[in-house]
Amino acid sequence: MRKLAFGLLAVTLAGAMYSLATAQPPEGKGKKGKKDGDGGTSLIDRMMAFDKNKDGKLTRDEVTDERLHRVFDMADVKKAGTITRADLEALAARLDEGEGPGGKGGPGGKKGKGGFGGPGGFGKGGFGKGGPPRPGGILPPHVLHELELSPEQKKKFDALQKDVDERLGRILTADQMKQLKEMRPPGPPGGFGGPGGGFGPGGGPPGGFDKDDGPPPPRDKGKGKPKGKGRPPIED
Amino acid sequence: MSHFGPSHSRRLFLGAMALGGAMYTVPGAFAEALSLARTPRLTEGPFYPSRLPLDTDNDLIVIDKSVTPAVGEVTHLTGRVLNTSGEPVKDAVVEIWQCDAKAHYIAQGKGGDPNFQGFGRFTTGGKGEYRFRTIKPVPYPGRTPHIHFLVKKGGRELLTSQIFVNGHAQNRGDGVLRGIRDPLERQLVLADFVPVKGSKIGELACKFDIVVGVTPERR
Repeated sequence: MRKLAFGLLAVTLAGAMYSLATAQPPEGKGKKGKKDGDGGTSLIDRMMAFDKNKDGKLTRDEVTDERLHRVFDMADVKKAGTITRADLEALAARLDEGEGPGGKGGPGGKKGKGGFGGPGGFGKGGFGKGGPPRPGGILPPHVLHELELSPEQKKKFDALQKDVDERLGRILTADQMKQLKEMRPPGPPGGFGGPGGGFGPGGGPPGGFDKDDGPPPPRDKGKGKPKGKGRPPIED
Repeated sequence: MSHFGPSHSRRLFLGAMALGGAMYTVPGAFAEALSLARTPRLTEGPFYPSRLPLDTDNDLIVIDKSVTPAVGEVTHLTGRVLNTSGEPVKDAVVEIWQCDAKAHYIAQGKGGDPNFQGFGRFTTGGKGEYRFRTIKPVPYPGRTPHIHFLVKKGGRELLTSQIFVNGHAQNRGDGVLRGIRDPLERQLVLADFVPVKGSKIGELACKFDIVVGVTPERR
C-alpha cells in the first residue's frame, strides 16, 4: 500500500517536475505563440518598445539590445536602415513558413501513440519537416533533402537502405517486421536523444511502451526515482 | 585559502564597490526602464552530469594539465549575464555541458573522448562576463547541435537553456528548439560561430549574452 502511494507520489511529482522543467508554457492548445513565454509580451512588442520617438520606425541604433540586431537585419529586407512592426510580422511569418503546418500540434498531436516527446509535441507537421526516420530508416527525409545528395550518392544511399532493410528482415522474425512496419516514427523531432538517457535511439521509451496506450507517464520510466536535483530525465 | 584577513576584506570592499557602482552606472541606453527579452528556458535534458568531472574549469578542451586537446572545432564562447534592465549580473555561476565530437556525453559514462572535459563552470565578475573554451557543438542522434547551459546565483537556479548554431540545417527539425513557438523569440538562443581572424587552427568565436530575470535586490 505504502509502495503504491509512494509510486503515485513519485509519478505526480515527476509530472509536476516535467512541466516545470520543460520550456515554454504548456503547448496544449498549440497556439502560434505570439504571446507565449517571457511574461506574455511578444518579442515584436519588446522590439517596438525600442522605438524612442514613437514614429513607428525602428533604426538599428535604436535597438540597443545587440541580440536583436540579427532580427533587425533579417526584417530589413529593403536595407532601408529602418523597420516597422509590419516588417517584423512579415519576418515572423516567413520563419514560420519554413516549418510547415506542424506549428499547431498539441502534446503528441494526433500521433500521441508514438511517444509524445519534448515540449509541446508537434502532431503531424513535425514529421513533415523533420524528425527521426521511419523505424529502420537510415536518415530522415528532411536530412536527405538538405544534404542535397548527388544522383550518384542517391543511388548508393538507396542501395544501402535496401541492404539494411533486407538484412534487418533476416534478423527479425516476420511478426517483428510486421510490428516494425506498423509502428509510427517516434515522438516529435529531437524527442529522445540516444541510449544514455534511458530511451531507445531516436525513439520513445524502449520496452514497456504499449503502442495502444496513450503517451507514457512522465519521465521516470526506466530511471527510477528522480534523483539529484530532482529533475526527471527529460529528452536531451 | 584563508577566509579572513586582508584579502577577504579587500574582496568584500571591492564587492561592495561593484554593487554600489552598478546602481549608478546603468547604461544610458537602458535608463528608460526598457525591459529586455529574457533568454527562453529550455529543458535540462538527461545529461547534466550527476557526478561532476574532477576538472570543472571553463576550459572543456583540455583536462587538467594534459597536453592533448579534445577533438573538435575550438570555440571561444563568451558573453554576459544581464538582468532584464540590462545590468550585469555579478557572481552568477554559468555552467555548460555538451556532447563530444562523437556525440558522447560524459554523463553517459566511459567511451567518449578522454580529453574532452564535457562540463565547465565560470563565475561572472562585476561586468557579468563569462567565457569558455570548448568545441563547436555537433549533432546528437535526434537533436540538432546545441550546448546546454544553466545560470545560478547564490545556489538559486536562474535559467536553464541551450545554445544552438544559427543556420544549422537540423535546427528546423529539432523539437526542443521548436518548442519556442515565437520564431523571433527563437532567435535568442541561436548563436553565430564566427572564425577568429588570424587563427592558425581555425578557431571560432561565439558571442552569447544571457538575460535572466533577477530582481535588483537579489542581484
